[in-house]
Amino acid sequence: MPERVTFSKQHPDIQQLAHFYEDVAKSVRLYFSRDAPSFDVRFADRRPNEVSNEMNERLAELEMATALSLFAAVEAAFRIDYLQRCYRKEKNAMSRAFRELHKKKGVRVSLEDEIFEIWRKHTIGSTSIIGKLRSAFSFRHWLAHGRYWRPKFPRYDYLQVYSLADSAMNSFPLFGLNRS
Amino acid sequence: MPKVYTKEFEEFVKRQKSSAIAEPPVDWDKERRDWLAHLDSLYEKVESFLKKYKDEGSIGIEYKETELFEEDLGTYPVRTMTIQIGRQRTTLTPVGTRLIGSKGRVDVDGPYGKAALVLVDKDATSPRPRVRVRIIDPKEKAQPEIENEKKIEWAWKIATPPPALQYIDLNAESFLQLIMEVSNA
Repeated sequence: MPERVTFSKQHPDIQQLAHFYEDVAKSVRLYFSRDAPSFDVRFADRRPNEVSNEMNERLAELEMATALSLFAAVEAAFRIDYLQRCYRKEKNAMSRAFRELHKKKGVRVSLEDEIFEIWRKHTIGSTSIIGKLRSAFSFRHWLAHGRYWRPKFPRYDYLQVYSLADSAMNSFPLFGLNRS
Repeated sequence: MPKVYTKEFEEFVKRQKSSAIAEPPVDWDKERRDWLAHLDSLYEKVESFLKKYKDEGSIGIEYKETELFEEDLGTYPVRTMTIQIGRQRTTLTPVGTRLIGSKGRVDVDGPYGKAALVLVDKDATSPRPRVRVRIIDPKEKAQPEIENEKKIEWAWKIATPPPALQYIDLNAESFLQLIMEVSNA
């Protein structure tokens, strides 16, 4: 039997990530605005569109970094749930399927191919959202592995990734962790 | 294989079979046309909200053509709208129609903030899902996975930023408030 995982309780929370994003985006916009005390010094001899292009680059980078953290939050939620269901030894077919998987692979399971698949097979109402999660995780891999190839799938933005993460967290009966 | 598992599996297969609903093919050309018509109606609405100021000459409105690429829809032209108020420019940029939880989205970008206009069910107050995922109980009778098939009447709404994620009805008052929010520090 694989060893039990000791949970860190440091997994990201999507609401906190949203606050982080809003705070940083507002700070970036202020930093690039004429209201910033050092604006004239920092952007001396620059054209307004150069300044706004630079700001948009920073905001785009922030969007991608936050989207990646949101994907990590979704992954953590499903993996924590998977392990909790294995440890709790409940008798429903989904928990049994997770335990079988755990016996074979422990924590080294694929989120998209194994965990999502078990959810899809053993639940009602999950087909559509799992399809959307799988598509979105292609974008996650592109982000996580350095964005060095031209993606053949649609790009997601922060708002789309947040909406999907929020939908997943609110529609699946996931076993969470008490952070206290 | 123990008999209990075989029986359970048979029940499971029955459920999956009854829940497998063939999805009708999607007419993507029609989807794109619908989306572009909704986009035109949004711009008309915004123009009507700003008519008084535009007629006075205190606000300028201009459109630019750009391209959008979306899965299944391909590349197609759309218009962005720019509202010029003094030195401040606020741009309405269409994001697309193949979105999670809405039929369309237009980003509103101002010098101090960004907001989103979304095309959603006119009765919706937030994007929170109505479908709850349920673990199959072997004792319950098979129920196909059917979502509510009610005819949706689409409406443009203002989406508040995460984590609140609420929809606010789009009217002159809420739109002018939005313009001020993205344009003021």
